[in-house]
Amino acid sequence: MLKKVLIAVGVAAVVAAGGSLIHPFGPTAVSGTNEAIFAGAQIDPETLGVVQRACQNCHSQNTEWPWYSHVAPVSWLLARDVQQARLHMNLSQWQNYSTDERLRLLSAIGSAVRNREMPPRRYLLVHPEARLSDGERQQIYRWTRNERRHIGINPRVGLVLRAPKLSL
Amino acid sequence: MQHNWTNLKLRTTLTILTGVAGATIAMAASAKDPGRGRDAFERRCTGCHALDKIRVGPPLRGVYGRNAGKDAQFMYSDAVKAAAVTWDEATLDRWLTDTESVIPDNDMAFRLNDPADRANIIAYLRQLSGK
Repeated sequence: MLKKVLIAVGVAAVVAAGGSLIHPFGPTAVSGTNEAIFAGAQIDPETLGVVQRACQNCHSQNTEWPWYSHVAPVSWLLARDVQQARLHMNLSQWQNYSTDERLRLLSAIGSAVRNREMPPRRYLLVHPEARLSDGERQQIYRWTRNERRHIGINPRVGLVLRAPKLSL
Repeated sequence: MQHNWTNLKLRTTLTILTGVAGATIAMAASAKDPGRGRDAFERRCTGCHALDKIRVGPPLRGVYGRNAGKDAQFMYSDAVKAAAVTWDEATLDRWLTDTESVIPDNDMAFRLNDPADRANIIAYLRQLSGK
């Protein structure tokens, strides 16, 4: 019996190790890039700190990859989630979005955070540090509205005429 | 003389054909097809909306015929909450064309530029409301 268990554990370990070498969603797991987010936006340090704590792990290049993110099949699930999050919105590429895209993303950020759609509940289960108080949600919401007004008044603020880079 | 008469007939025929073709295209473009509206809704709206649950925006089943800002679970902008707007064909068409023209200072920065998509999506929402 013990021998069968050991064999099963060994097989699982070999499969996990082998699977960890496969990256179906691309080479995502690069930690510690620490790139600027919301480049070109007028954001106060306090609100920026809240966004960095709650949002940038999935929605920027600044993802912190824990040890289990390198073990298949968890690595595949996390890579897919981060890839999709960056496709929706990559805060490290903020300056590359058009004015219309930034206005649309700001309204989506504000509404999603205010209505508790973001951060996702299942993410908060393993990342309790990303929880937002009601005050912090209101703070992000207010900032998105102010930034939309700022862009609306100055539609060419931070505008760079090239397509957003959607790589991982 | 014969030559001019033939030219006149040709030009008249071409004018009629062009008019018929234009009218056909215009009718197709303005058709209110709930089936196409469902497809357009999936393509253009579901990034932020679902029919029965809150996502980035409020759920949209039953929105046609309803007053703006009246989903009890969704936190609307102050402007939408205070607006006296009922969602019908005209208001929804204006809203999807330019939200600010209907309710200034709202939280939906989105435009649907294709009139056919707008008409079809509105027809789909109307059908869902049973109106």
